[in-house]
Amino acid sequence: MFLLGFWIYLLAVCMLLDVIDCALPSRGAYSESLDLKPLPRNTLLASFNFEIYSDSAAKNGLGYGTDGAEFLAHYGLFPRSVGQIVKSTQTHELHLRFTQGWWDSEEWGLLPHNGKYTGGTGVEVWAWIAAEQGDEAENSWYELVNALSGLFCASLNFVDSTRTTPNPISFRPDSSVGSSSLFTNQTARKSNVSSTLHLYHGSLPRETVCTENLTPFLKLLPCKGRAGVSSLLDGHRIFDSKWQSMALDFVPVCDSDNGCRQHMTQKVDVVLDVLRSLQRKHAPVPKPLPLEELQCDTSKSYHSESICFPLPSPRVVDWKLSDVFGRRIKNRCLLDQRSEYDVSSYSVCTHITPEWHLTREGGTVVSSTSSKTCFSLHENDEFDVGFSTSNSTSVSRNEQPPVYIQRSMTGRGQQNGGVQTIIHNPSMTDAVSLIYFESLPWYMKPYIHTLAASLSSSASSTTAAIKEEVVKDLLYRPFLERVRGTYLELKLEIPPESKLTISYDFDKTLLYMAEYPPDANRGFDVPPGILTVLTKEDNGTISYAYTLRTSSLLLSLPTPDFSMPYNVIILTSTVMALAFGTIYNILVRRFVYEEDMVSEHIPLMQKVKQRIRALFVFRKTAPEGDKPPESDKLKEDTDAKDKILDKK
Amino acid sequence: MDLKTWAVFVASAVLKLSLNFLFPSLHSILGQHVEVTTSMTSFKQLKEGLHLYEIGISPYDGGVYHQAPIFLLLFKFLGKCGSTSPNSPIINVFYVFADIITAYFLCAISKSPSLAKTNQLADWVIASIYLFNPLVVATNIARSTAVLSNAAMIGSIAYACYNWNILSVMFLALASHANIYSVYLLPPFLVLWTSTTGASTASVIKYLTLYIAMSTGLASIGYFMTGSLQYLTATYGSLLFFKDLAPNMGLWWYFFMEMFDFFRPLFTYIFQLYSLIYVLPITFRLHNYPLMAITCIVGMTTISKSYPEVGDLGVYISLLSLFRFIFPNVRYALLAALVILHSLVLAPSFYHLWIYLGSGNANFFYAITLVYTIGMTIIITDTLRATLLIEFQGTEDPSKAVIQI
Repeated sequence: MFLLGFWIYLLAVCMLLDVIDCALPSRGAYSESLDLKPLPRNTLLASFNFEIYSDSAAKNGLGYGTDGAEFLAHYGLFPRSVGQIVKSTQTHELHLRFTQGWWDSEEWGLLPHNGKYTGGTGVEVWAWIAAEQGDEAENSWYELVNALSGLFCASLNFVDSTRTTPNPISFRPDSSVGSSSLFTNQTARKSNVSSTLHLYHGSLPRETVCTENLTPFLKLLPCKGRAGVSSLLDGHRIFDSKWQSMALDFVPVCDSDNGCRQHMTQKVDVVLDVLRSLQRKHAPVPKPLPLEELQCDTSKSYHSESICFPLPSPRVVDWKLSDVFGRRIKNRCLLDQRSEYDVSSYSVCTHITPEWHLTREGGTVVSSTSSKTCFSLHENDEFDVGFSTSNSTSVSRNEQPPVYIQRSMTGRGQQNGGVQTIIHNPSMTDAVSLIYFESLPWYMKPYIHTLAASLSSSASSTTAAIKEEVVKDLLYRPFLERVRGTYLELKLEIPPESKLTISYDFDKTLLYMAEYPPDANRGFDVPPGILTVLTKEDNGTISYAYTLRTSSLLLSLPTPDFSMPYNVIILTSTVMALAFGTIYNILVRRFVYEEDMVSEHIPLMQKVKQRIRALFVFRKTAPEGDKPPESDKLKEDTDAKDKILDKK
Repeated sequence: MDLKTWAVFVASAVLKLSLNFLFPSLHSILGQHVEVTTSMTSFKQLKEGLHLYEIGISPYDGGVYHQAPIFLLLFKFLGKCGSTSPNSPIINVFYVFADIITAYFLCAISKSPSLAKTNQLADWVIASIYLFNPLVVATNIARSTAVLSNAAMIGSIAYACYNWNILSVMFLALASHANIYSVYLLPPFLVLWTSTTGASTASVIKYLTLYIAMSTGLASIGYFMTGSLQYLTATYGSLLFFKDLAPNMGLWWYFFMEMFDFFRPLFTYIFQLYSLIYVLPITFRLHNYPLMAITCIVGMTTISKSYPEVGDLGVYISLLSLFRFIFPNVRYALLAALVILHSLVLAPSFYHLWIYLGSGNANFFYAITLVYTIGMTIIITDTLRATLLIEFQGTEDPSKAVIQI
């Protein structure tokens, strides 16, 4: 009776609090969508979003540390390749980013998803790993990155201790429910020792993201890029973009009713240059435009038949999705089990201003407002949508980002330099509080005592701020040669309408010859700085509202002459031997007066020796007749030496 | 100490203070020159270590600070008295004072009983050879901490010459705490300390024990300051195993940069052995001239240590100036001077070509360090030979023909 009452109570609470959570099916689920948004200067932001939920695991958790059979029962749509890696390394949460290009904040505004799914240039990975002890977690972390390296064809295996930052405060786990209690319960039952979550962050700014990363990325999807919106993802187009970011997030989702499930989010955000893509379609081999097709600014005084000043990108445009991506959306991914005609379960959405006109081929319109039109896809159908406007500059603008950031190297030469970061708070009214995170490679040796912060506001001229006014907190761990890099995290607060300049000096170092990469004079990439904007919620908790990254820096180090190892070994050794020889020569030899060298007393043995030697010299020179003068001298010398030895 | 010597002291102080006053950025320019400071003596790294120490991070848990813990204490104290900015009055006065003390010690050595009977240079000449030596002035203005360890070493010699042996032991312990290569001076110092009592085993053991006790005492300062023995690997470990690969005037950096990984440990041991191997032979051969033995070992260390700097050469030249009686027997003074001068002029230029202009490569600077080493070798062998010749000839007629066998 008591139990029944409890169940009713639980159900009531569930329904009252969170209807959706309770309604989640315990089977796995998959959904996919694509958002298209024209941006200024004829660019198009395409955001692909794929979400996979695993089947519910047993109520007692995710099945870590069990024999595995229980866990394996819960793969459905969920990719087993990732699941097994994550499970074997006790990874609680995994975030992986592949990014290339530069997001133009001033032109394009906020990053998609508030920067949550955007990484720094190259590859970035961070994960929370459950382990009892730090070194255990660290081993799991290296195991994880090595496994991911194989899975995603990326050089993630180069994330070693020098590129790993443990526990930066710039990252917080996404999983809200029992982030650590989940594991504490789980392992506590097994071993009575509570395990904690360890965060590791690593980045490879030099890694080039390309098709070999996209292919395994698509293979994780249930439809594997063959049907549905993922069929648009063609490496040739995605990587021929102004900016692109691929994200893979692995987060456990727990609720009291269904137990815990794994949730994997895969996102691809691309900013494509529409004109460039169109040109590719019309002329796959680039060649100059014919004269009549050139769009020239005729108002220029020097405009003539042979001189053309190109117009900024044309305003009148008319293109289709298939022109930009090179193909249409094929079919519908049937594993996306949502209703085809439900408003909330759209597949493709466009975000445009009323000045744009849409033409649809295939699919169905499920909702339409002045700024947003959504379509659903059908089985055995090809979907395409055309965009045309007479004013392509009219786009639905993203919001202005809360801060702008830029980072650059200062100084000259290859001995030392400086890093300067400028953070701009454009808001007229609000101060903004931030966390700025930097991890530097060990061969870049910063001087933290030179860290300076100065504020300049547009209202007044530059004022050198006292560091303590802006820098609220500083977390710092110095580098250790060949063991770990520098880790620096600053908590900052920037008053409205002002620019904060942070700078510090650093020294460059030489490396061992084998440590230089093949193209040593290209320079070394320094990972991007990560800026997290904090906002305070009404209930007093601080949330991470926006994340953006600086570009990576190129650090040029002094190089040796790579052809010299043998020469250096020989020359240095010669000089050392020269010094050694001369000094020991002086130390072990004795001075004598020349006149003392003749001695009367010669012992018997010496006499015999001398005779033999004389005989030897005589015989050697005898056939020539008379002796050369040298041999005489030699004989005398030898005699003299013998004599003096006797004397002593 | 006559009026002229005092005038030299004052003039040198005025020179350094006015240089710092007229060119306030001179210390940072010189501080960047790899010939003048190394990572073992750099003032900028000292400041970084001090900063880390003050904000509560162990300066030795990182690769930036390699200097002895005693400098942290000293400069923390100086910071409390004023500021540790390299151009602050207190630092200026402190460094000028350190150099004058060194010069004073040098004058005192030249007046000591063992040297006074020989023909000596005037005090003011000895003082100016040290104080106006451009190498010493540059090292001082760059705020290299070698100034302080050299002062301790010279002080140790001076006290030993006057038989203040306990103070001498203390100063040597201090010098070797700041610069581990000063340990090499221990054998000739043992000769020096026991010269009055006779080299009995008991007195050797007494001074050795005293030295070890004092060194341990100094080492424990580091332990109590940082709470761990990590500083040993960060300071002496870094020096002995050549962890920080930065160009300098020595033979090490390019050799280990180009060396194959597999052989690196072997050659590290060989190079350290190479710097050690001169100590005992020179001490034994020059046991009648322990001061000259010290000078020769200082000279040899200048080229064979892992992080040498030109200030060491300045100290070596000043020590040589105490031995006027060997000058007539020196044969290659001109050659050596020209070779050294050549390398000192070309080293900064070639470094500039390599690092800043990119029109030269590392081999340019490397070649100059080789020339510098050869120049030093010429000086050392020449003075060594001259001393042994004096010892051999004694009071006899120096015009008699002598040969070496």
